[in-house]
Amino acid sequence: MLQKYISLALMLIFSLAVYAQETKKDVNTLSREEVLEMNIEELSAYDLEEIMKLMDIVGASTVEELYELLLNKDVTSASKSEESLFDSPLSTTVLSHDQIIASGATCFEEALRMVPGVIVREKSNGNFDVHVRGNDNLPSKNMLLYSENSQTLVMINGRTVFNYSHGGTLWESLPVSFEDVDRIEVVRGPSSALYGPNAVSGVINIITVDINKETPLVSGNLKAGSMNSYIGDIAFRKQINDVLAFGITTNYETRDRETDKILVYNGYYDEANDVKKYILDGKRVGTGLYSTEEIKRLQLANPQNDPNSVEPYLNPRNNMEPFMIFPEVGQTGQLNGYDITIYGIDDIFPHPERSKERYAVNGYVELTPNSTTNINISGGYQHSDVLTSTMGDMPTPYSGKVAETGYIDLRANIKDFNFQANYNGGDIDFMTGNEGFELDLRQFNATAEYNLKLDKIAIRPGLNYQNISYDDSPYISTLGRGYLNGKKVIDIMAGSLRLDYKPTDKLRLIAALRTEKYNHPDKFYTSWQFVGSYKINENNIFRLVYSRANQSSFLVNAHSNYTWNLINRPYPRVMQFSGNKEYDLMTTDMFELGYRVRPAKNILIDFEAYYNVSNDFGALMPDYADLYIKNPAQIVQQLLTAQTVTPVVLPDSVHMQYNNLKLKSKQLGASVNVDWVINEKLMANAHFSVQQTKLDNYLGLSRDNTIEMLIGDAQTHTDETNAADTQIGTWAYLIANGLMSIDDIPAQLYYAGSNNFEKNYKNDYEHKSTPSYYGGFSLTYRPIEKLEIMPSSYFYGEQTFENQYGTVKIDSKFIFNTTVAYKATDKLTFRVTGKNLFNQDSQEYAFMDKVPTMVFAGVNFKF
Amino acid sequence: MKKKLTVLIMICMSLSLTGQQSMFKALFMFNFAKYIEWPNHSSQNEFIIGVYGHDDIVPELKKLASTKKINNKPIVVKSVKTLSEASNAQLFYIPESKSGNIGEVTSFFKGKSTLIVSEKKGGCAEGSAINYILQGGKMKYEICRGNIESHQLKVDQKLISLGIEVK
Repeated sequence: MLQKYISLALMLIFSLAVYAQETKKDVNTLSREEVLEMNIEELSAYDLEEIMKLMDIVGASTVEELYELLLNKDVTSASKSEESLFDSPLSTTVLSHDQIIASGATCFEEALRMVPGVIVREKSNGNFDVHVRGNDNLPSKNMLLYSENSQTLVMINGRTVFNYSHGGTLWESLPVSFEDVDRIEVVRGPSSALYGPNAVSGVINIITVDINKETPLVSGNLKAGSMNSYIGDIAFRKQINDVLAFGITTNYETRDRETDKILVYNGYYDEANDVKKYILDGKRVGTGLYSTEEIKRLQLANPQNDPNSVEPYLNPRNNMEPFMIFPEVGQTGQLNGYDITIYGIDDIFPHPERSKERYAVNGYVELTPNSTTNINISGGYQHSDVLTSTMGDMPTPYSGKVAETGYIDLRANIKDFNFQANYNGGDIDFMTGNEGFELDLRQFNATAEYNLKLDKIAIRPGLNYQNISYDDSPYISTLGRGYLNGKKVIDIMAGSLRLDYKPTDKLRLIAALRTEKYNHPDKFYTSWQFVGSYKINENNIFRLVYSRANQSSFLVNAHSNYTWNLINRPYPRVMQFSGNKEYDLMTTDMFELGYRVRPAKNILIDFEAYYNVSNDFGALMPDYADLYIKNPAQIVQQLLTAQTVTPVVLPDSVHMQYNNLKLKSKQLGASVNVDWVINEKLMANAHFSVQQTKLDNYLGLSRDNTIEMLIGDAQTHTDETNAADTQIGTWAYLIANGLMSIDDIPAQLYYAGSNNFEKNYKNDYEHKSTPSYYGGFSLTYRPIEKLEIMPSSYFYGEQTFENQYGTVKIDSKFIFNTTVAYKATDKLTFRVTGKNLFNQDSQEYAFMDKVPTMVFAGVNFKF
Repeated sequence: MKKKLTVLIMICMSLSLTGQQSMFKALFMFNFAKYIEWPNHSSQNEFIIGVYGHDDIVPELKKLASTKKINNKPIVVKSVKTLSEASNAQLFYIPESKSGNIGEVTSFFKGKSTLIVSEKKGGCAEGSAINYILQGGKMKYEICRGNIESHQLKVDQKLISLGIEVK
């Protein structure tokens, strides 16, 4: 009987089990709600293929995907191998392609406003100054050249795109555009130990797309906006098979300025008393915006006369014609025995209404012959023509820059061996319309590294060779008219070693060292990074960094040999610029403390505080000046005839030499960045930076101030001035006694010279060219799937820019933008961006254009 | 009381939504094992799944382990702080929070019959056999035959065809 019951019970259980089996429903008939109601036990009855279908029915949580996209990015630039951004041992930010597009940025420089610690100022429509953490405009009170950021190394896939002629980055000459780029990685702090010289304040590495099965065949962006701005790029890319992929991209951009007028500055003899320097159509005028037609008529007023006099200053070296600021027609050649080059305004500013035009084409080939080898070959050509801040010294702060270059880059990774070699060559005119500033450029770079991964330590030895040459000889009429006068070369040989040791799960110790040997200066330079990072748990990580980096030699500093015959300025008659091959390279030491925390799964906070000490700044500065008596014959005549004649003693020649300065910069700063995925519809980002820069051994003299000091000192050299007086007396005696004719007296007589003056250095001088605070925020709001509204802002505090021709106060600014995107389909998104909607149109960069409200509309597509 | 109940239901709902992803990852993992053949000489009586660090997948795997077997062996789930605690794992999972350690894991299990599963962009390139990715809002997996076979494991072609093969 019992057996019977047991059999019955077993049958019942069996049939229940069969029933349960039968309840495993067909995956094709299940609704999302039904799947969500199932527990893991029920789901485990399905096989993998069915589970994948069920997963598709449920869909990944959008918010999970957002965490992945925004809070769990990967980065390669901080350690030269891929790692989680959270674990990065350096201050690092990654901007993804989608973030850049979504922000409505019109170029990479503008997108960098989303990165903490980056200061971005617009000079003219589409042309930007980008500084990492500041230290900008040093040494101050000098040419605008020294306000270019020559301390940040910009790279494309690790290929340096740096201007070794003057230092800095010609952003407009980068061949790539939005569709080329997968992400931009920004590493703040000295990184020469990883990437070589000029990674002093940081590295900006633009990383292009890896072409795979998911890459759209055709994708692109088209945008049109205010001030005749048209920006577009398109990419065709395809993975042919597992081994081969290729891509072609092209881009075009053109933008106008709000005005076609050009600023002529340094327009006062005495600004405090409004004594203007120029004459235009019978009126005294000073610093201001003028059309090129007006500039052609602009004359220099005679400083000796009444402040309101409209009598022009006459040029003794040009047949007593008035000094013209920029004549209608340029002249080159000999004039009255002097070498002269005067370019007409139309040569210097052929398109004063246009701020930027550029186009480029790039090609990519990716080879993956097996799972441990990949070879990337890319090449391209670019042309750019911009109106931006000058690198030279003209009566206007603007000049044109034209670049036409090509590149080829090979990157090979074979197991743990990495090799990269590239060549970049072409022609760059740094100051259009001025003889001597157009150069042929050739840059060759090769790096080989091996990443040996052992149990707890990764060892990365490397070798690097760089050969960079610039040659102005093809573009100058005769030798002596360029600033290099021939081909000049920078050679750098380097060896590096990086040790990445993880003794425990939590502790990571990194030591990176690189030693470089330059041809000029003939010295070894060593840079380093020592990092200790401690991961308390999965959500908290601390790091301490001590690092050093240096600039490379720049050709203008090492090899300048430029004779400037100032035919359109009264004096000095000639200025000679000489380089210094053995100058010490500017170096920065940094101490940094960093902390990253994930207080909740959806929030990432990144904090960094640093102290930088920078030494060995340098500049082309006057090192001696000679005074000449310009009217010796008149003075002799005076002695003979008892007339009253004022001796005209003027600086005749000034020698400018690139020399190191005693200047030392000490910078203390901090940044915080918060990324917060509030929910599926709302995301927020905010970053804020503060800094203070103090200078020791600050002299605060402009070039003209220094010349005045040298002249003042020369006049105290009584042995020389007495000798000149004696010479005048001797000539008077000889002429009075019929032993010499007055016609035999030379046109000028050496009076005195000086190479020294009393220097009153200041310590703890507050350098105000970098804003004391700056930052930005953005909100991304997706009320419905197809619509995205993104208000954003970038702001900075006031700055004081000290230039050789004056001090300019840059007002604090709050730039408010909003981008609205409508995703019509997965393949097509329309986007409208309003830039600077509060119309805070003050200039962001000294002397450059105002920045008004602009509106852009465009589309991005992928098929 | 009603209000408290509503709040409780809401909390449960949100917990179940965030847990959804981990549950599917665990189910995927459980299914991967069906398509992998471990060497016969494996004399262990248990099928050990190691998880590096704490992760939401651990409770899900433990739920599966309580009712299911792999290769007729009971499943043991070990959440480990150091790799040596799971040195005999047949399957080892590196959660995203530990994805910086893929190199360490692959070198630790070098030569051992361990299926390494990770969740990191490019995880297979760093040596993992199977790698979870989010693509177009959907969870998928990358799979590398070379990285599976280098651990003396055999893989069914179906598992490769269902995933995104990485060479």
